Amino acid sequence: MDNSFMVGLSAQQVLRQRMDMTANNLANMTTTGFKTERLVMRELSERPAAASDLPKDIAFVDAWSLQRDFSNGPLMRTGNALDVAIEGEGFFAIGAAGGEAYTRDGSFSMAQDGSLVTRNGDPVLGEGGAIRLNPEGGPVTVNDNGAIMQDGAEAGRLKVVAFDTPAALEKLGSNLWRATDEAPRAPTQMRVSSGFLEGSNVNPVLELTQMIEISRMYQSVSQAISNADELRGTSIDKLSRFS
Amino acid sequence: MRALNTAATGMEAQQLNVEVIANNIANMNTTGFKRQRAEFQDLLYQNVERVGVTSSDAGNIVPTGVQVGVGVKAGSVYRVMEQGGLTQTQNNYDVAVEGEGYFIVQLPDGRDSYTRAGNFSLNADGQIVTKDGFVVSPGITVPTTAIGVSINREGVVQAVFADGTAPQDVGAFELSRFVNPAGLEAIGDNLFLETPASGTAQRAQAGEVGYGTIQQGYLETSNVNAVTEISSLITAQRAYEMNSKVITTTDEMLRTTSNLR
Repeated sequence: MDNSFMVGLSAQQVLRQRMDMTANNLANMTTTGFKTERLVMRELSERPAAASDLPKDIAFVDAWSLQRDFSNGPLMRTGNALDVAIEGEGFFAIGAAGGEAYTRDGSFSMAQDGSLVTRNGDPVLGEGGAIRLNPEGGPVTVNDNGAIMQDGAEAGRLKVVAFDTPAALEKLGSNLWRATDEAPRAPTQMRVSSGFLEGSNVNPVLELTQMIEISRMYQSVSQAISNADELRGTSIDKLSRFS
Repeated sequence: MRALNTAATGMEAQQLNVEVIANNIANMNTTGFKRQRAEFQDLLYQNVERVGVTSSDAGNIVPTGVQVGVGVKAGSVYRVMEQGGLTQTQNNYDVAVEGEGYFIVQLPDGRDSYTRAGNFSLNADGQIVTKDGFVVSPGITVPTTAIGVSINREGVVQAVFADGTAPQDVGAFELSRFVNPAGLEAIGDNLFLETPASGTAQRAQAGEVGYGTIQQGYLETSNVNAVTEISSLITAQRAYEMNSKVITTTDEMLRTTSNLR
């Protein structure tokens, strides 16, 4: 195969991946606490796949890493006291299966035994383990420092942690993230808003323009591959006439 | 291509969103109705390049890796148990709860159900019943000689007589509350059933701390806010549209590929 095919192919594969990501961003336009993701591409210089007249390296395209936009999403009022959103950096700590997980989705509720749980039933962690409220107690409110108040006393404090490179967190689905190398630290600047949920920070206009760009790039790479194919066809045709 | 399925999950999610919003708007004038909210979560991620792997022999670590998501799912549709407004009706048997409590209604099959809609009336036996004729717990019977009733904030029903005799206590409304009222199961007709998620009903007389007080001559309106619902409807519709655009674009890309040869 000609190198131009391979280069074109590498570009198309990455473009498809970018398209998958854009589709995921748009599908999660209304997901609580969702953060936009982008694929970062890099040039991958390699020796030519086959011997050619040109001694130069050729450059393939490679999906290299993820760029996550951690800007805050819009706060949406829900009216439930146990719906909380973080303004500023940080994640709520959740006791998910397989270890501590983190989330920006603060739609919590009280289970029958009084423990504070997520929509999936995983316990919400406080400063000292899972948070327990009194199921027969009065109404619950959450302060802006994350303290949960019930019957005039502090029943627990939401554990909010931050990371220096939040982009390195691994996503588990169901709005959960898991730490990889870095240990969590206390957030420097955050405020908990009770009665609100954080919306997704996907910018639909940006995603649509991305999508247009991707599809046009895909078309032009296809065009380049067709052209190379045509060129080869012509050369085979012309060269064969001499024999 | 994954993008096709991803966009399909997005469209499904928005469809559910619109259905929930439509139900909220349809019940804008339903007594004691509590609005619902659809909540979404992202689906599993596929690791294309795992976080934390080394990218060279020198020990460089991939800073962020590449994870591609495959769409969205409905996390839950839950009820927002915010207090609705009170509207005056002048009807003696219309009562509203100000606070967390629910009226207890005995279903014909013997089970208890719970409601916030206090548009009650009397049946032929003089018992206080709901619009469907179900007895309101604990079963209060008003004497036929009474010309009216007075219900105080603690839910005590007093029958008033025309002949000048002193008003007589005939019973008091019982209220119930739940650990997690959002976990109640709606069975239609403004009634709810308890579930393992809601926790068992705790019962007490109205006026006890946490149960709320009773207002006679008022009904609780639905807590649906038209402006919020319409703006969510617009968002949902646009999101649906954009997801369909993803499908069109992906289709276009696939066509480009098949046109190569």
